[in-house]
Amino acid sequence: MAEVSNKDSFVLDANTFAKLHPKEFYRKFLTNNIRPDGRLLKKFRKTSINLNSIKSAEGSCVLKMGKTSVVCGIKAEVAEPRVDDPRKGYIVPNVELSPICSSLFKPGPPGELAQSISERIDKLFKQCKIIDLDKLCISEKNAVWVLYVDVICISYDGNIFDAALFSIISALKNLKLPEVTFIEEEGKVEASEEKTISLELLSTPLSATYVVFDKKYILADPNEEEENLSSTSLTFIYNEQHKLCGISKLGGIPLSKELIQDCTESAIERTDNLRQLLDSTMKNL
Amino acid sequence: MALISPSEKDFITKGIEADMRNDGRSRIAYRDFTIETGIVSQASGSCRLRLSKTDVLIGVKVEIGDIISNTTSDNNNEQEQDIVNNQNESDKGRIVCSVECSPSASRDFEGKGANDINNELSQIMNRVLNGPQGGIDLKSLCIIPGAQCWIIYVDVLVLDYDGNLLDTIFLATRAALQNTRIPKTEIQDIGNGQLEFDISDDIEDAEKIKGWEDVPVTVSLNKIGQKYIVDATAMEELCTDTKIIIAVNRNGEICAMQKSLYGSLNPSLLTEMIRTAKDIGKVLIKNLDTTLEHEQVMASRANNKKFGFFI
Amino acid sequence: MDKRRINGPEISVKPIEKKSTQPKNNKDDGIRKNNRSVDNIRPIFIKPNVIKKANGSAYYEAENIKIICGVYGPRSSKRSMVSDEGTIYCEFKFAPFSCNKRCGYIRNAQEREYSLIIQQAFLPAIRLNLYPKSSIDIYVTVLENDGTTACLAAAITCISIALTDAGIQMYDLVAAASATCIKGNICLDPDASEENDTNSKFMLSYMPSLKQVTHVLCTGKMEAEQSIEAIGICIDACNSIKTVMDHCLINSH
Repeated sequence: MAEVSNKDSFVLDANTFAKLHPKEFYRKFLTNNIRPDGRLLKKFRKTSINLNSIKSAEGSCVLKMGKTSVVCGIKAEVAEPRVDDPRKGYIVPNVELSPICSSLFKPGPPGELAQSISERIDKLFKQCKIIDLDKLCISEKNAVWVLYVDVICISYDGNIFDAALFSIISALKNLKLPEVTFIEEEGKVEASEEKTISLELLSTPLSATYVVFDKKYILADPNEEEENLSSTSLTFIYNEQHKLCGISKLGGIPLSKELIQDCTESAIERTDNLRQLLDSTMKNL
Repeated sequence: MALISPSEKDFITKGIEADMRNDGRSRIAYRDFTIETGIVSQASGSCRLRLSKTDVLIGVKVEIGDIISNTTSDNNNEQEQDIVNNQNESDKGRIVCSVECSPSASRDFEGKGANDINNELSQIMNRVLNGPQGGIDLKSLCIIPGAQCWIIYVDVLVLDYDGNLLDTIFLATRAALQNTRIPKTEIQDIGNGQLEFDISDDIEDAEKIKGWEDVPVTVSLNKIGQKYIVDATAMEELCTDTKIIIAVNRNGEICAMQKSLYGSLNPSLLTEMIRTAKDIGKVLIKNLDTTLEHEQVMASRANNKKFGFFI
Repeated sequence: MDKRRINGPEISVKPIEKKSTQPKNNKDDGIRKNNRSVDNIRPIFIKPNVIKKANGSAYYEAENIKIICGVYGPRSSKRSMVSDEGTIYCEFKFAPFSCNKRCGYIRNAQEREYSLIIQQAFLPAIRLNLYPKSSIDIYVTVLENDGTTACLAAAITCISIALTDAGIQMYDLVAAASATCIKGNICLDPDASEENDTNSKFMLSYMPSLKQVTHVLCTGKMEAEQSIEAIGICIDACNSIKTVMDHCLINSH
């Protein structure tokens, strides 16, 4: 593609043009209803998951969404329950964006993006009934399970929230806890060697993220470039009954009602596809 | 960072190839050291060792602490967090070492660089002393299994530096541990399976640490040019491109080995260095033990008259 | 209380494993468990170029060890403002779910020590004089740990591939092997259960074409002759690991 300005032909090749005028570059594609990586505007990237590959974790999932890859591992430990709620266990989700996935992230404590994603996922767990925390009880007032859910981003190419949430739900569905007994006299918990007990998820909320480019183009599942160029992003979280569990639009430009409603059908379809992918992968295990 | 001129480096390197170092020693000759134990009255054991100008003061304190069980906590006290996969040892005490290089000893020990040096030395000490290779019987440090144990805190203060810091530290640690006395404990069963213990106040009743004879010493070998030397001075250390630290105990067994600095080694040279280190290590330990015995004899004759500290 | 992360309860412990009353089907006729021979290394799979944003990356898998490594550089950093040689900065981290006992997020002393060891293993191999004022940043995450010394050796091998993928000039690839002493025999590539049983751990990193040892690390008691034997055995292992590395690099392009 060449840009011609002035009478002298000043020709730029595609890569240089993309670096100098990224928004123009995108506009030229979007007017033809396609994106530079070949996707249609509402098309999501190819997603693949690999379950239970990490034996040291009680549940694990490796997820690839295009070039974004995350690994989610769940470790289960035992702790005393809170005094005001002696039957409830704990779920502690954390998303780690470390320097290995991109040069954007510096070594050290988690930055803003990681903290905000962890917080959103934690709120989702607290507000939507995903797991019945009473099922994590081992012995009332004495011992409950603590599930440490850690998501590590290995390769960062945009849309981390979707990837993190899907990997967490997949790992939770495949969680295998050992049978435990609480020994009164010693105040300790003994576990059998085999891990057989799985956890029933009350609901599986999954998300679909869109970004808005130039106030009129809606791009689904943005990669990192698209995230940087867009003016706002929109995330829908739907559960398996097609009920809306969450919607977030964090700052950015104001959007019209039609634009938002435009995405809802696509979001429901996407979350259903993800659930099918998860079920079929679990069947093949 | 201390600097050395290329000509001086060349001079030292060529001298070493001819088996003649700046102070006239051969490549595998050790400098003489002077040693004093029991000089810090508040510590359970102490030792000051001077290897030519390198001066190190070690204080050992024994305290009662909890036996670490298999907890996860993100606020771990880093010094006590040991190897990730370590099994829960519910009947062993532990040794915690910490090295502090006084900034007055050398320009390298100022500022941020000092932190790295301190951490590295502390880590090496912790790795060598904790475990059966460290010689000390950790099981004997246990008071109540699963609950309380003796923790031996070894604190090293480097007062002056002229090369070969790690060897000096380990020689002094071995002497300090020989000098350390742990108070006697009596365990009483107060019923309900609960145990309580009493510490005896009698100084005479304190016991030596079991296993101090098997504490290893390190031999640092510095490769300069194509040859290696033992017990380098500060100048010689600046010419080194590869350094190997080998911990040897009195039976000639290798307790730890680690390479540092930026060079690489021929496997045959490495093999030769290990054999040399083993021989030198055994001789060092023998010398140290004879010196300590001699000191005991002198102390009992002189009725514990101490003269001065910084002489 | 880490204010920047979601926190769980203050203290949590791993449940105690019940000792099984029946002895398991012990195939312990040989010296090692699982009928492994003394010089058996677990089969290695390495794939370069797995992280999009990194200059070079590699994924290493050997049975239950999974390691991913990313190399960024040469790039400028505050640390390397004034130096006529490049610097290597390495961060080695176990993922919280990688070990038997959950690790925290903050690097503990052992991880910092391993980072230093990796840096020293690569100092002789990388041509740092070609990258003045720059820093080569190496980030290693262990996703699944099955033997800490074996993980360290695997990390070094993985990093060599990642450095090659990043196009950083080196004198030679660095291969690393780990060993332990079981019942008087030197056994290669110990896994976690073997490591817990014995006390001696040995790790050696080696440049196979130049025939130089770049790092050696040994903890635990060993006879001098045994450690010399271990060096020889590890060097042979490194030579075979080199063929795997060559194979992987040739097939990836």
